[in-house]
Amino acid sequence: MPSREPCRSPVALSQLRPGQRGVVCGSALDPADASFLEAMGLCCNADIRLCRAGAPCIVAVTTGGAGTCRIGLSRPLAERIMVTPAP
Amino acid sequence: MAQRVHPIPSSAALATFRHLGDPVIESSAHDAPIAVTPSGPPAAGHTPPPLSPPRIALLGNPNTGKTTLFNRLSGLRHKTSNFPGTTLEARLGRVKLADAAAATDPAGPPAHGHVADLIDLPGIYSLDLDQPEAILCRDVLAGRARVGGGAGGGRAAPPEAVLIVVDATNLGRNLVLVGECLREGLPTVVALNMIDLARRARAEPDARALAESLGCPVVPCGARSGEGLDALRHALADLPARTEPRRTIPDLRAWAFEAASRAVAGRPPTTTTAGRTFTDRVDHVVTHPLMGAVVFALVMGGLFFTLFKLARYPMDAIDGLFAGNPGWAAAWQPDWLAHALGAGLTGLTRQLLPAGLLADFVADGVIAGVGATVIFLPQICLLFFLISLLEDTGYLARGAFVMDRLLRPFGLPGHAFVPLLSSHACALPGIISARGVPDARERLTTILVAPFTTCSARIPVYVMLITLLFGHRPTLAALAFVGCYALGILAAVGSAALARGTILRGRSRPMALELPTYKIPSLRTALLTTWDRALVFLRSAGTNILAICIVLWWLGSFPHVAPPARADQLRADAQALVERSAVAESPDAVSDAYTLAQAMNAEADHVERAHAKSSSFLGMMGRAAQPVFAPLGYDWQLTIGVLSSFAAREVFVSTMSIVFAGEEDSSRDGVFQKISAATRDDGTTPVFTPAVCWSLLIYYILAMQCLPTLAVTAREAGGIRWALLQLAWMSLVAYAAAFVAYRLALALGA
Repeated sequence: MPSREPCRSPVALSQLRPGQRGVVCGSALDPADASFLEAMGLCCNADIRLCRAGAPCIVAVTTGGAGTCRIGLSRPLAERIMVTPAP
Repeated sequence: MAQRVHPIPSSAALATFRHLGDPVIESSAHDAPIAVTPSGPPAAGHTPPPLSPPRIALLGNPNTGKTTLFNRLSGLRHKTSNFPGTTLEARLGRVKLADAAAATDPAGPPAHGHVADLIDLPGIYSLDLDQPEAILCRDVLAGRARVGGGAGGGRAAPPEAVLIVVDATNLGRNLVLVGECLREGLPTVVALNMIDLARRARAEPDARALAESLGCPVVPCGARSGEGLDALRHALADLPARTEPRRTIPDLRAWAFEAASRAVAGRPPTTTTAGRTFTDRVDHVVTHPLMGAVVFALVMGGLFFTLFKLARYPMDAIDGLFAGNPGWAAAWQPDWLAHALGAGLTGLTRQLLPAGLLADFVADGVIAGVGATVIFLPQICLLFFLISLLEDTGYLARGAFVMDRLLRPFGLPGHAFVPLLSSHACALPGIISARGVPDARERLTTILVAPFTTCSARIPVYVMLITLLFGHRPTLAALAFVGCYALGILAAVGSAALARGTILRGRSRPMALELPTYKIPSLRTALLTTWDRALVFLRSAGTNILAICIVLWWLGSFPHVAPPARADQLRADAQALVERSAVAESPDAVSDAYTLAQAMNAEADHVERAHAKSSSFLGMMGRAAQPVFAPLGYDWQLTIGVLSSFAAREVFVSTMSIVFAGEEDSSRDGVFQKISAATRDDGTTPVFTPAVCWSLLIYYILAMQCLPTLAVTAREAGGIRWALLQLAWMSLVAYAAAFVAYRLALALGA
């Protein structure tokens, strides 16, 4: 995993700026939704980059140090995923 | 006990091996099926299970090229059905494996045909998810789900092996599913797909290192290019002979990420680079609330314009082939060919067979039934060809987000837009395309409500009734047409909201979609998808539609009755007229008499046809069912029309033409006037009063009246009960709305 600085306070994924990077640090999602997103690669410690803000919110996720995928999320989901913004 | 593979040359040898209790892979001839029988000593009185090829479950995350690989491996040797009792699609393909002997011993003698059945399971991210697709995959792997195919119609047993497709450019996440499968203890091969893309990105995983980490064969391949498929066939050929212990992997994600990292060690790390990329900019436009809607409208408009424009030609040709088209055929030479083509298969049958029951059955029952099925084929093929191309570009997932905003309040996802829009052409391709809706409840809801939208078969009925209502007021007629479409859409989304709040209640799957990379679509994949869909349609819907057409033909043709007295009288008068003219002096008078006699004979034919229709079983049913439709304002003649169009709503127009004008083609001169002037049994009350027309119009907007749709619903929804529910609900809504419309129109003095 790339090095990161976990010193910043977490914000909702929807609050990132387009192009900004961060690390997923938690969520306030329904367990079923959380499991689904985790299976898609959007899990704790996943490196993400916000590609598009708003609805849909589009994030590029680095999965396990090898490869990325793009995931589109509805606004309610993006508002409940917490990320630590990269400096 | 370790399994061994033995090519068996004779049944005697097979019996010997069975006696010894060894596992046997049997192969009698090239391309012949092989089978794996379980090892272990045979029990007393034990009957060996029916022999069939080993089955390999094909698993993978969505967007990993799983279906492309399935198509590559099985080609056209596959069949598509549903997993019993579900809306989930099961594709079973016969895969020719590499020579088993060559695979294990390159120096050994060549074995004969070596095949396996590949079960294409739904794309899932994890076996552990509480979603219908994941539950089904778990059931198949555990041997709890029956998978179609074979003489026994499928068997419930674990597959002999698993083939997992992983995306080489997105290894970490994909390996989680691999770990879940390895926990099941089934022999597993990993197909490292899209290896060409990974190579281009200088991030090609080391397959050998990955195989060591995973403890199972890993084969780099490219399903699109065909790279590595031979190696994959070799690896699969070895699989049924392998056994795997169940594994315990405590932290799957950490295990998967570690294996992925080890496989790409030394490659440049893939990170989410800061800043906006080209894909980001394209995504920003195509998912924007306004710009995205415009792009979506343009794309879908283009798709359906192409569909309507291009499908018309083969549909007309098919119609001409079955029903005949003298105008089109006139240009052909020689004359006998023009005549044959002009008559169509129906006409040819009548020429070849002696007039009577057999000719009627073949021409009006069988050939008309086949024609009624095949005529939908061009629309279905073209729609799926275009959708497959569009899906392959990566755009469709983005478009789903655009439509999600509109459909979500009604409990439908954005994916439902394509099925609902397709249903405006024909509900059959619309319902079949609902397979693109990922959530099972939402998919079922889409299937159930799609037939409310106005399909092209309703248009002749709308034209007839709106012309009766607003014949000389084109603006009002146009508004009424728009209203018909709007009412259909409202009924669809309203019913969807009701279904999602009641029988299909459950939380909606959140709109979280993986957005595939934009790429040039694969023509091969699109063609194979089209072929697959065409076969599915012809096999399942075709047989049902044909059977239904034959039953309706029988109901409408029997019992045979004597011609009515008026027809006899007309023919007798015509005959007398001709005889009298024979002694006339003026050639003009003779000619006039013959013309008049021909018209009288034609009128006699019309009267006879109308009498036959009303005296048929269908006519009797119309009279019997009339009290049911009386509250809607329908007399027994209209009730015949409603019943006869139960199989296909457009039949209403031709039935009305026969009943009121004795002529099938409503566009012929004078027929429409006869329909509009038709009266009830009292001879004075018009059949088509404005109130009745409104009632009929509302009824036909909302009623099912399409048995092929019911047949396809039963198949796609995974059970006849859903089709019956759809029929009952649509009939109820149509009846209630038509009743309200009739009473309201009467109250307003219409």
